[in-house]
Amino acid sequence: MTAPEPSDLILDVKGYSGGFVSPAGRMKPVLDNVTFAAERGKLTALVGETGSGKTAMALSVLGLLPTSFRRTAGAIIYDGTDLLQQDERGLRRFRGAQISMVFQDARGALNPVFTVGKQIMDVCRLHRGVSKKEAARMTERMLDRVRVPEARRRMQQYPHEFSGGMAQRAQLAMALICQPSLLLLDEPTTGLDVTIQADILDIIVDLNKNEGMSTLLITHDLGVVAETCDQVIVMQDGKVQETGTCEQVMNKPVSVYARQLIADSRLEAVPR
Amino acid sequence: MSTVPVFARHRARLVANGEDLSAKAPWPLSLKIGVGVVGLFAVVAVVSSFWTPYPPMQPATGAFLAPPSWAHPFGTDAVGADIFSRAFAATHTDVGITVAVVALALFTGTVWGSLVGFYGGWADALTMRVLQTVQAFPALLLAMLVISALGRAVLDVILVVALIPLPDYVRLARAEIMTKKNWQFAEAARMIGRRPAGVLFRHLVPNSMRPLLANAGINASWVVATVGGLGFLGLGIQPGSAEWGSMIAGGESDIVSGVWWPCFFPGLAIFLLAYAFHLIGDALTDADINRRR
Repeated sequence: MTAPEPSDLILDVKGYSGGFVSPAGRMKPVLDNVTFAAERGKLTALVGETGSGKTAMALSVLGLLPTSFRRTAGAIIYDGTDLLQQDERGLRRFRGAQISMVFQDARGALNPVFTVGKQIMDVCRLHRGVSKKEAARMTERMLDRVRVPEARRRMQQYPHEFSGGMAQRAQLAMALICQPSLLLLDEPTTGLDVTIQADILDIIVDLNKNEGMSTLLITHDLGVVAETCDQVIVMQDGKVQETGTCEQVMNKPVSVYARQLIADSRLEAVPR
Repeated sequence: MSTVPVFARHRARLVANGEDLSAKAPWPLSLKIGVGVVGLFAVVAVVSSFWTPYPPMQPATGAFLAPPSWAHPFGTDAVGADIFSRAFAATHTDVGITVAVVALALFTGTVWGSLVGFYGGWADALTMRVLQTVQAFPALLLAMLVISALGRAVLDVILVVALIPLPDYVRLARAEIMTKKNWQFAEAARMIGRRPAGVLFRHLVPNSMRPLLANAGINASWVVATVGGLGFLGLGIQPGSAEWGSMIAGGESDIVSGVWWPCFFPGLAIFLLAYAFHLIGDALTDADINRRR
């Protein structure tokens, strides 16, 4: 299998390392020489247990980690641009408009004192400067797109009036409204009912397959990965253990850790 | 396929059963009374700017120190001016000062507290020292001292009386911002590309207003009483002008001869307005506490 051309890569992480510095000045490493690439138009899964550093990796892409985090090495190239060379102002042009993120706790990620519609309109007005009316139309269309029923009425509601699955969809709408090229999802279905999970994943897969949205899906659920993803990256303790296509990693895992992970997940047709 | 009719029937059923969670909470009686009384005073304040039964400063409109009667519902004072008209006119002075003080303290405290809560650093440390210094002084004493030094123009009174509750506003805003700046919605606001100042003022501050507004209600009550108190001590705005506190001071010496009306009615006005603001503040505090559960 030939390696993908650099132009095919929407996100290319090279040897990224970093950690958190405590107030006493001691550094706790969180990411160690992380190297992987996400291809344009593909659904890439970033798999690992809690504490493997996958969320820290995703937040690093957008520069959203707290100031106590220090990068010690590496580069994050998005579509040819090294994001780590950007200052805060430069990064803001990417956030929301080119790269969007969906967080795990959907209701927590929504501002409690504004209506959901206003928050989503806020994003597109911030980046596109459209009029209020136009933003409202775009928001309603996007909420329909992510299958929120009664979109117009839901727009006037507050986050606490949304169920978990609905809030996750609203967050997805907020992430998609400016048509980013790369979508990062941090455990979007963890904590949701199985049926809602399936629903959300359906939407994500639909976006990827039908609209070619490059997606990085962070999850610890290998069942989800096996069903939906093209590429898989396995992380443990801040290091990348294995990368490859879904078939490769799921059926013929090379690293010991990946093998153990798959076996423990009790997926079918994997020899112990 | 249209889902509208199905949901509309579902919603109608929820509303009919009283299970409609989207409905706004009804106001408690205390809040209704408080707002009603404050509203009444506000109307009086506006009306009294244009019209009073007698000119408030006009002496000898009737007998001197005449008890309440139909012609003079609140009686007349030592120079014969109609107390009702004076109390009426004093409304816009006192209400105006109260609103100005609370608005100033609320605005300044919110902005200051939010900025230091968000950015921290040496500004935060300096702020806390300054606040502690201000709060170390007994409130009324501080007000008296500063007014004696600065003078008694309305603006001076407003600034000084706003200074005293300012530390509370600053601390409240600072605490709320410090708590909420690490919450996920603040992170999400950064995610969509907002500048830090945008995250602070467009997302964090609106989320922090509840305790600040509750404090404003209670604070307004204190301001009414304090402005009246300063007026009584002769330290408010120009003595002789229509202001409840100075009206009480004017009638003070006559009380021993049984002339109760020059003191009673302005005092009643202060009491009622302060009480009304306090009711509002209490209701807002209850709402804030209930929300936190």
